[in-house]
Amino acid sequence: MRRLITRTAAWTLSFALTGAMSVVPCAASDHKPAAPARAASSAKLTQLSPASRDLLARATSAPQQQPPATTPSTPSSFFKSKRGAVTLALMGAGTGFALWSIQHDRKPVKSPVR
Amino acid sequence: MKGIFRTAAALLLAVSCAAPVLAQALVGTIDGTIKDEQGAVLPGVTVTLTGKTGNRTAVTDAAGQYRFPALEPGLYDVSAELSGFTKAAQTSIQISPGRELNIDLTMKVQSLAESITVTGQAPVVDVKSSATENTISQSLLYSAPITRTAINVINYAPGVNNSSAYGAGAGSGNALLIDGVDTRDPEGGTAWTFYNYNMVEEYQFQGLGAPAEYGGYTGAVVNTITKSGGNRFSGLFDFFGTNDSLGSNNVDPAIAAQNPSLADPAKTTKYADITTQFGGPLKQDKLFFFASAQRFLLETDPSGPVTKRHEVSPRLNGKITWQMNANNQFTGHLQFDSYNITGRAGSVTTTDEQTVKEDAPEYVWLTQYRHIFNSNTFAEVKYTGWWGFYDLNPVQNVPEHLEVTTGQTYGSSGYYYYADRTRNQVNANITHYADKFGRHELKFGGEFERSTVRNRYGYAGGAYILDYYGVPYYGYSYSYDISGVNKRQSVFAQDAWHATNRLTINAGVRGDMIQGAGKTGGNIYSSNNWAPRVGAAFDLAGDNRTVIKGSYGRYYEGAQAVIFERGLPGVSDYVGFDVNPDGSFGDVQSVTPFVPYKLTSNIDHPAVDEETIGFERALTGTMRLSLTGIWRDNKNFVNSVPVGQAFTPVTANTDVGPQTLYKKQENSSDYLIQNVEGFQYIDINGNVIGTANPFRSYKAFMAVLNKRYTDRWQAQVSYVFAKTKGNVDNSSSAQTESRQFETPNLALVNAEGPGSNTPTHEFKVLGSYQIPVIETSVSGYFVSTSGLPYGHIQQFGSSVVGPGPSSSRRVYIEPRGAYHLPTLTQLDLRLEKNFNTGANRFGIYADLANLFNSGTVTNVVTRATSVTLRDGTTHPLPFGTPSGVQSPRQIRIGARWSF
Repeated sequence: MRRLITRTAAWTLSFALTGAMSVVPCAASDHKPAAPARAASSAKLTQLSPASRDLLARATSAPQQQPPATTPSTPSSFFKSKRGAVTLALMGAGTGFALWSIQHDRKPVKSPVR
Repeated sequence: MKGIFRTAAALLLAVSCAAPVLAQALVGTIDGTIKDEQGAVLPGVTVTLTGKTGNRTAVTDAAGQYRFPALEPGLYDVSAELSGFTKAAQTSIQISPGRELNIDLTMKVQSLAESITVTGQAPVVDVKSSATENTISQSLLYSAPITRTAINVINYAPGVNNSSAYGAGAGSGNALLIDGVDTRDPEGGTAWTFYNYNMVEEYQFQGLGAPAEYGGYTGAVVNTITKSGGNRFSGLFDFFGTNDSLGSNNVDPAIAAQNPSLADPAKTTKYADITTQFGGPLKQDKLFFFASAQRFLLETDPSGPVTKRHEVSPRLNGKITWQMNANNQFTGHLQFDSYNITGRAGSVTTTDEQTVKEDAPEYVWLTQYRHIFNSNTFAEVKYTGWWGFYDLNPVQNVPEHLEVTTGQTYGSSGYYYYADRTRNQVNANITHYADKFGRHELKFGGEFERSTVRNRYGYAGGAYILDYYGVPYYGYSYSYDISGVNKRQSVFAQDAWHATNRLTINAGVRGDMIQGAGKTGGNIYSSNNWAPRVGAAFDLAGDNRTVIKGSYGRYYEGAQAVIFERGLPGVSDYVGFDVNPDGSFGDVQSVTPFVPYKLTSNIDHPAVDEETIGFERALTGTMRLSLTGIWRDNKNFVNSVPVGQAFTPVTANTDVGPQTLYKKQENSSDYLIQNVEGFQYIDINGNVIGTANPFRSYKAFMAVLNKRYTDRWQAQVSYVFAKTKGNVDNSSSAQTESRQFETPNLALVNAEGPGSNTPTHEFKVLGSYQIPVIETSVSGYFVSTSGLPYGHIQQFGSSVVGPGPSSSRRVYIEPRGAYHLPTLTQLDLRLEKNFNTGANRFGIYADLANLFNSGTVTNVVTRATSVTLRDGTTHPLPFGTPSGVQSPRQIRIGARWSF
């Protein structure tokens, strides 16, 4: 029974995740692609004084520090890109591997008290 | 004045009507004043805040002030626009939970030369907080060679290790929060649920001078903030692994000769940690998702005969953020973890047939709704919790046999153990800013907790059998099935009163009403406690760069079933019986009946009183130095005491000379759980032979230097000088549960000494540097701590100290902490070659844990014993023999792609 609950919940969660990702392109299909983020940033930078430009560049150069999304990419443009396709493929593989592991690596304890 | 009281009364009413309500609000605030170049305030300026989920705007008031409350942790930009002036902006402002950052901007009269003025770094010193906190940022987490076991990350904080935080009890005194979800075991307060290391946005270590909204701990608060989706798509794909060919052996032959069980140390044969993560918008500015899948695998060849230990943890996470509009936000987060182990061994002599399987799945959930009434008021309600169990089952469900002539065991692990847990909490809080007599940040809230604990234990196959020269002759049976419930209702009220532009008074009070009960029946434990908090922070130069601060507060421990569960029913009698040579059970020879402990009413819940004094200075725009003095005194020790039992002083011959001990006069099981302060131990004539006076104090000086990531490097350097002293050690649950006070031999004899989990000197460096041209990052973690203290224990027979379990007959024969382990030093290194193309960041990296393969002794035998190995040889292990060394050098390699 417990295994059934666990499996059901795991699958429900995975469906929810997968569903959410698959909804993205549909939900955003009527969005117009925005200007690429880097181009906008570059345009902004050209208006700055050298000192300010240096300050801004240093502040945003930290690894993994994601600058606020002043010009976000849209779901439709993202998923049509090569990066979007690779991302979806890798996410699918990773989620599938985790689900496979849940099913195959688990050794449920069998006991009269469970 | 009336306005303040009216507002406060209305807020209190709102909170009480909102019903069950604690609530650490995991949000920060950005506010500030906009001025022109002459210093005049500018009303009517449009201020725009840009974060990963979109923009928010505010207009400065007549005093030129603006405020953005209730900000999720992360990076923000602030810009100010007014016709005729050049746009002013500040970028990359890092918001952490509970921080209020003052971002003042100066606007210039517009010129053609420049259309935007970018101000420098955000403040590195919080001049309004009287608390002392340290964070490990995402950029440092990403680059550093940090151990990926989530609970071990606590080791990187100053003054904290995974054995003790600021002198508190090992593993049990810390509030471990993931996005506000209390993830601790409700039985003893230790870590229970774990998560994907790559999910973490930021670690925040609090606890020193924390305001009233924080409670349920006597050590530290570890706030773990996980990532979430935003307008920008982000992803991380990471593989990290190793095997036995990349490991080393660091056991010195001389040490192995002293303790042959160390000669065959555990080896990592396979390690593979795979993470795929993806987040972004479902609908721009409105709906965001974050998803993560991980599979963690660790296989080892343990010490001794066991051939393989297999540990696997597949985890799935899903998080949704719904920004309904600028004032309403909903967040939902669910984690599933299917943790599983096979080949779990009990000791170095365990064989494969004696291992257990561990099955420990769990769900963790969070739902949260936040409403911003206006720039002065916002409220948050959340329902959080987790469900899980932890089963240990023998691979062979047959009795374990002990061959009494050799000490060897065979058959099975000897036991099964099942632990079931749930934790449910409803939290709520409301924050209001008021501007009367200075500025006030008022916060009210509370928490409603119901947690359940169920423990089941028994002997595998129903018995534990003794053999004599291979023939079974006697057996025991014993089991328990205990269920308990923690109930807690907490409320708090606090005010950060900015009395002047430079002085902030932080005051508050917190009430924790804690009850404990069994599965049926009423409460057997009840404790109502009120904790005052007061602190002050003074901006020394009025420039947001230097602050002196101090605080006083009382902090009560969380609700823990371990305090009262010995008073619950469900334990069987302990039965001894004959066993026939063919293994069948014979006549019952002895029955030791189970007698539940009694509890007094009105127990004062364990707590710690704390005073801190601190100085912080921004050395540069990105570097902060903080100096903190800490004084802590633990209070309200709860333990079991021997009611009506008499003890007779005797002179015992110990390994180091004669020692006065106390012999228990009868085999009584009559114990009472109470605050042990003042309990008197008596002799058979009723004369007092000693009085319990439990205490533990902690004093420390802490210096921390933080450098944010700029100019290609970042670092956190810390030094802590600390002393923990008392007659109750800071080992696990010592303040709440150990049976130390059931006998004067443990309560009164050589009990006083230093805390065995607090190093006197601790030096830590965590940092990274990005080498230009070759774009390779070098990151390191260096730690050096003075050796931990330990004591000399000897076990006496019941003929000397009277009847009782062996744990009550193990006595310090020299003052506790009279000896010290050697100084421990370790360097971990990471090298990562980066390949960046556009927004894509690729990396290939290698971690070198324990680079110099140091083999310092980390544990020794404190009570003389011996070990009989599987080859049949028996080796004496006298006091002081090494019993553990550092983990050897292990190289791990990884590759990742993030954007």
